[in-house]
Amino acid sequence: MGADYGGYGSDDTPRLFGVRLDRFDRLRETLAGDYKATFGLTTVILFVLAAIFAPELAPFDPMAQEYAIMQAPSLSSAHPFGTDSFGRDLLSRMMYGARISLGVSLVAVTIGAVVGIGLGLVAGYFGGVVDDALMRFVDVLWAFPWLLIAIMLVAVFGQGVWNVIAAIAFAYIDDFARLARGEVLSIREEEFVLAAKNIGLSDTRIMIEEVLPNAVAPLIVQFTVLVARAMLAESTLSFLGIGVKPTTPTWGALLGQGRSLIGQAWWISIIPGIAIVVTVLGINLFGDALRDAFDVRGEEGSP
Amino acid sequence: MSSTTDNTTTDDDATDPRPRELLQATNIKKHFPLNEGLIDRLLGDDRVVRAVDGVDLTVHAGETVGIVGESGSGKSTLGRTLSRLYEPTDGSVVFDGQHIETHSGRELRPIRRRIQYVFQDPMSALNPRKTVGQSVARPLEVHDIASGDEKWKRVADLFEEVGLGPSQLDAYPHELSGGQRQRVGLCRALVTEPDLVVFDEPVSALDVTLQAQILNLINRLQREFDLSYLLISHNLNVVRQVCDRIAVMYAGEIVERGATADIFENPQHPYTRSLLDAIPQIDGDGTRADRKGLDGEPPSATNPPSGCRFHPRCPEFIDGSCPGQKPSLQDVEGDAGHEAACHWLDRSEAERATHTPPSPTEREVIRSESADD
Amino acid sequence: MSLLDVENLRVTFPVDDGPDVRAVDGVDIAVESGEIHGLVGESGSGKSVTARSVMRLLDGAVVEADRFDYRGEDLYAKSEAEMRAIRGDDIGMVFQDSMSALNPVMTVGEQIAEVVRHHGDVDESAGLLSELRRKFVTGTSETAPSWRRAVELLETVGIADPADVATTYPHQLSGGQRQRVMIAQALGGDPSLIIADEPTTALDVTVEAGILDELRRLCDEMDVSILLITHDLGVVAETCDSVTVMYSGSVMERASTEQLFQHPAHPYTKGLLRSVPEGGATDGELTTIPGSAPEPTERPDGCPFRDRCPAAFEACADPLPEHVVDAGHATRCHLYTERDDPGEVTWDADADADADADIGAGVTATTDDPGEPSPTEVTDG
Repeated sequence: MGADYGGYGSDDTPRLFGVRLDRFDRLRETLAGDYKATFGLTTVILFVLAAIFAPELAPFDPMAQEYAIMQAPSLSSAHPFGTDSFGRDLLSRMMYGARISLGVSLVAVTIGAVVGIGLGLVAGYFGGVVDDALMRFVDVLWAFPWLLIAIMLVAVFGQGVWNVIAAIAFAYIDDFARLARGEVLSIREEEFVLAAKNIGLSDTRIMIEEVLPNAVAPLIVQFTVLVARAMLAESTLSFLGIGVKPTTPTWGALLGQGRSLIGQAWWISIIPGIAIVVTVLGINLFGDALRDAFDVRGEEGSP
Repeated sequence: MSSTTDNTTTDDDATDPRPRELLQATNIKKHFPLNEGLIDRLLGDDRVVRAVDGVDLTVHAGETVGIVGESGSGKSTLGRTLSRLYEPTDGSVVFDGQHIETHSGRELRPIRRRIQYVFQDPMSALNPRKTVGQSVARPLEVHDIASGDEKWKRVADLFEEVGLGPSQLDAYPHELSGGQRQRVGLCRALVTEPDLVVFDEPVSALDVTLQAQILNLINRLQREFDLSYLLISHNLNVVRQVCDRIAVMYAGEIVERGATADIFENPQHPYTRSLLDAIPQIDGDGTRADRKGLDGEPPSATNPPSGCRFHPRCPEFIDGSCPGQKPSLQDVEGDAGHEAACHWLDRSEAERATHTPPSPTEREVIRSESADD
Repeated sequence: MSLLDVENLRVTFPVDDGPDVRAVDGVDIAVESGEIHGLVGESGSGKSVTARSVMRLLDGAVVEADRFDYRGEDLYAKSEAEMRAIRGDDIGMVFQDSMSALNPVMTVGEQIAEVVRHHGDVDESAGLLSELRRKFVTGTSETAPSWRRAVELLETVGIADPADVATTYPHQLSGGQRQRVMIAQALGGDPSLIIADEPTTALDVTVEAGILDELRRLCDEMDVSILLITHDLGVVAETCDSVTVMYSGSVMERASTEQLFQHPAHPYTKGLLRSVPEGGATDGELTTIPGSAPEPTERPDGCPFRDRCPAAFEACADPLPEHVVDAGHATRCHLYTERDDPGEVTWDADADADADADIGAGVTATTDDPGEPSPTEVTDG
């Protein structure tokens, strides 16, 4: 669908990638006006930047051990966050840890979303037997405690990033499936869906073009919420020792490593803990802001 | 409108060759199961909502047929069934010679170019996440009619035709006014150059002055693009403005039909008469006219009254034959193509004029007696 | 003394980023005792807002008026507590959508009885505890005076088997019945004035006839005045004694029903009357007023109708005058400042063409800025 509308459409309005710039106004307004949203966005950006540019930004090699300064307290010399019991710089470890946390959460939730939304979309759209069958399948998935799955995977395949991703994705499929199905159930009754059928669009096309875009808002929020939860989940697994490989510096692993040292070297656990809280909060707020900005209809309108 | 199934021409216009029959529906029924649950239905709850329960209808090329009825009459369901948005539970739909009642989605594709539907509420009939230009252009893409610049040119031309500016191509539905949205709906229906357009209450959601504009537009487009129309409305005045022939629906059936003038000047069915009486009139002398409404409510669609479905509310209730035997559509003397389904047609006009209907309690007695038969 | 006397009403809705919306711009309206007064207008005319301003139900809006008297007392000088005593008691309201205006989890009788207890003349406790008890535990006893009054009211509004119907829930009733229930509820406090906002718009025409008859009867027999808001001129012709015609926030004409339909004075009224399909016109085109009503923020100076009026001239940019055509018949049109009867107002054949509908008759396309919101059709300004 050519965004240039064949030359028609109001060409004098400024555009970005074919989309009118004033569409972005809403996004900008939401973010600018709402301090919560700004906070959320800032946190997310910092987090992502740290994760991507960890190799460049980290002052030290996260694996480099310096016995001389083991358990150095934070803000001591060159280590703003201190070091752990192996003399490794905590700040650097956290930056690298951000990569893994971010990567794991994003990938896991994306997989869960794709599978879950797909199931929910098909189930909600077709209804009847298809709906019943698919939803029972989803119920089965939901009934499996994810921690158990994680343990099983570790027992079979050993520790590692992909096991964590699989376990977490598995846990979130039903969330997305149910949410998507609920949205679809109400959207498919809307007249524009019937209108699309009237035009001759196939069911698949209708699901993707007409129904899905309208179902997206709560799914986006759910996505961000679950990314935050996935980070916590990964932290839990690593904390318990059934997550990533032992030396990998994820935030949860860092938390776990500092557990016994809370008295002497509190920063090893507390700082990653604070980071987790702040990041999770930021992601949630960002998700809310995204949902508001996506609401095409908005609350404008004369009384 | 011929209701015979052998396609012979009937009384209408013996001198001129009849325009071809574009759409012919015979004994159309559309029932919806009341209970969607599989298990309940297996256990015996097979009640159905008889939205449309045996309708014959023909639309000729170039004409406008109106379907009039109130809530619960089944007129919207009929419109959707005829344009194959729903599949009929029973009956046949012949469009330009082809039976389409059992066509699958794929087989219907080429038909969808030719039968289009305009929805009542333009706001809910447009995808809020697509610009109106995209919505109108979509049919062209789906049917491979045009692409690229050619496609947009067609859309822009059509926009102008209906009074919208081409600058509105990239507007979202909620940014337009109600009248503009309805015009968009019209564009979407016309962009594939269909043969038949079904309108479902096209102006009900609009202000009076806008209604007039849109009705004028609809009329003009018909002449310009050589279209046939099926117009569904509860508003008799609207129907009168646009339609050549009218069918009056009640409780899923057609109770009267004929040329517009005949229906308005010589209504035969008591329901039609009530409907006409109920229309608020701006009398020439501005006095308050006495309007008679109808007592009671529309009948249950799952369990319609026996015999003539209108008998519980009929202000001209006769006797036991009303609940006892369903009247079929009969020709009205003197008017070509005018039919009504009422037992009064078997009796004399004089008798009808002087008849006093029984009171509700008396009717109860009559009804239970006829049920015993 | 008029029952309701409003002078120069202005209602403004503040908007966060953008010009404030002046929904009602200097409206005078008066309802006499014992009459049904129609308030007619299209979407965006401001009629609903005007009606709600009487009940002081406009949160967040700035309401100003030179005079806003009900029974001679200034409504806007009253405290919220005093207003609560008036609402539902002396002034009742009937809404358009009965399904959402009625509580779906209470029986119909219960809802009416509640109003009766709070506002009516019965000797029954309506304190918080007893209400809670009724709502969650016992319901209203069928021997209680409020219940009996509720059944009485249901009968008054023409519901068959009122005692049985009182025990049903709103969703079990038909649209017409629900509307009657709303009227009964509005009557619960023995009001002197009922404000009915499009009470029959959502109903079938055969049912509408009954409801309008009911309203007429209430006015004649029970001495209840009614402010009837509608967009349907037919309803006005049949039910109302006098009419106020509004357009885009201002009053265009005010007259008795007879005067309005027989001798319409304002060009807008004339255009409106001609747009209504009625009686004869079958083949010809409906004459219509091309263009559409302006947004509140885009109203021209002076007369809001001047961009669509074929008789507009320079003076139309000046503030609206008031011209008395006859006793009880006034119009606000500059045409009348010169002479008493400006004659026929016609839109030329070209302007009738729908092709110009949105961009025509001197209206510049307001569509270049689609960022501007538009009012929805049903709930109008």
